[in-house]
Amino acid sequence: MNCADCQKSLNLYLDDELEPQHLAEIEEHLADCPDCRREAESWQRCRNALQQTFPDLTVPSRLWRKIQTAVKTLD
Amino acid sequence: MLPSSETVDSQPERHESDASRSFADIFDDYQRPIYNYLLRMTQDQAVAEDLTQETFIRVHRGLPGFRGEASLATWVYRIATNVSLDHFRRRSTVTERVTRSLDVVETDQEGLPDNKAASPEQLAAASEMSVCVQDFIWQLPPNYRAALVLHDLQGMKNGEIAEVLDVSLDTVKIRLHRARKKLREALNIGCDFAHDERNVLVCEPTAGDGEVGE
Repeated sequence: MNCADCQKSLNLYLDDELEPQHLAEIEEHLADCPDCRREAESWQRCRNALQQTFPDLTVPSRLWRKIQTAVKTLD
Repeated sequence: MLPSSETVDSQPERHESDASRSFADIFDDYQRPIYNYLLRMTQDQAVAEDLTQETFIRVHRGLPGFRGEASLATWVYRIATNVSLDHFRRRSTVTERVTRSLDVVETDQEGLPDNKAASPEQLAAASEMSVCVQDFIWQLPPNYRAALVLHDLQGMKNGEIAEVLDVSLDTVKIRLHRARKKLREALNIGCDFAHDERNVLVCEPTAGDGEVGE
């Protein structure tokens, strides 16, 4: 595998969406290629930034009450 | 009656156990992911609450006709997505953004971050990351935003997203690739990344404005 092929598939690799054969080829290439490892790290950093920005929030309790009331009027 | 896009297509795989779930069970399982999904899509707590309510009203109405042709998750997310895209179509001429999720984190006693899901360190880091990334997400077209949020924040696989958005798998891959490419460009232009003393990724806005280009 060359760098162009590796970098084209990096997001699918990070998504864990590659077939086993393709996955093995990417991992083999990444082990030997610092440029592609840096590229993978750059994509991963963007994902981390996204996940840090939007932490999982609890649902306001008033929302369930509002929805219960709304649903009861439909029954 | 549900809009036709919320009916489920015939699929070889059926999810019959999903079809027998009660509304209360479904609400228990999906209220949190759907609320967070809509909050991430709209970046406005009041709007996210209204859209969550609308989503579950449509779920309640549609449940008697749900036969498990798609998974329950796909069906509920499809409804939430349609509700949010309808909202953006209605608001397409309005450019204001009244509040955003992280403003709510600082000011509202309800809708607080779950301590189990987000540590104080993570929340501090979120505030530091927020301006660049929130602005970027807001600039994305809603259908690109949906693909990115569903994948990277709601944890869905590409195939599930294709079902939710009712598009091909290739379309999902293209939208994700373009959205991520733009995110990386925007962050590279607008932010200096660093790991702080907590080893948490933080960013400092640079002189660049981080605008997302086509």
